[in-house]
Amino acid sequence: MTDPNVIIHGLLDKGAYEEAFSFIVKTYSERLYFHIRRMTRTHEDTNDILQETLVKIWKNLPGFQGRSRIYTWLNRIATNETLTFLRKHNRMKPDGYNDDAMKQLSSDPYFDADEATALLHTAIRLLPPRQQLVFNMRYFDELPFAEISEILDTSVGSLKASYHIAAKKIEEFLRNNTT
Amino acid sequence: MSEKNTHSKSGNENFPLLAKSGKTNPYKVPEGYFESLQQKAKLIAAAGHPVPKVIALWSQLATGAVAAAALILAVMLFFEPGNDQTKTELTTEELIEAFDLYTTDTDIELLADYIDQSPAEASLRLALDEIPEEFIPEEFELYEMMDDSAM
Repeated sequence: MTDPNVIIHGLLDKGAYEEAFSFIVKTYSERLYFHIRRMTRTHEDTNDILQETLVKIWKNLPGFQGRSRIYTWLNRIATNETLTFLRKHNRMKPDGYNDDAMKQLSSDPYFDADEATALLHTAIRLLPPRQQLVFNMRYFDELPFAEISEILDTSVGSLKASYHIAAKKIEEFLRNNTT
Repeated sequence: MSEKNTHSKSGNENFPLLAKSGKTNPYKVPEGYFESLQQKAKLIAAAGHPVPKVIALWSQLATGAVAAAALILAVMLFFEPGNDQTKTELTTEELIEAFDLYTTDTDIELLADYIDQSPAEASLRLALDEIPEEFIPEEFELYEMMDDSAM
């Protein structure tokens, strides 16, 4: 299978922006959706952020120089849009843990998990947003720290520390809440 | 071994409950959601063609010169002898955010020492969300070594 980066560059070189954009949406929108979803509380919020992300991608497509991988560039836009949304809605500070945290997640019609998975995602939601981001990118998306560093514009050492601390907090939460 | 796979190895050793939790995606979307995005993408594209930005060379040079002058001015003001800004203390928000990264008392003491020694530098670096290498908790360094050795 041809590398999506090659296909997109080929289309952009020809000035075929619409085809390139359509290819990006088809190939990456699902991955971007779940990246945003892990940081937000509802499908509706995720949908709003994703649409804004797609608009930004479309507008900035001619400026994509190809210095980074296409997914790194897309992820950076999605991450910025998510953080902007969270800031705008005063959600940059994590909620304190309360008994309703897990119930709230379980009552989400678009959340379907067994107890262990629900507990893990509750623990993630209790982390500060930047730690959530680093943890999600590393743990779920399995992105190398070097790539996360490019997306978040933060040093690799700092990211490794953030990841480690996030994982430690999650482990502690799981230990205290696993029956 | 690639960096991708090192997490599971070191993760299993350090965080057994987390490793047991797995990576199942519990989030769902309404039926046909991703297909509908294709339509939305067409609407976005129909709203107008993106225009490649053409920036004149003189404009780039002028922007560079202004940025350089601003940086020099900021550095001069920041490090001016007797300037109170060099003694600026961290804001409460910065402190809370920084301490949030440090989970044990020892780590917090370590960071507090650093802030006491050079408050201005600490303020700058923490604002940039950078943990100074020399103040990364000892426990983390052990983890990092394990991570590297698994590579």
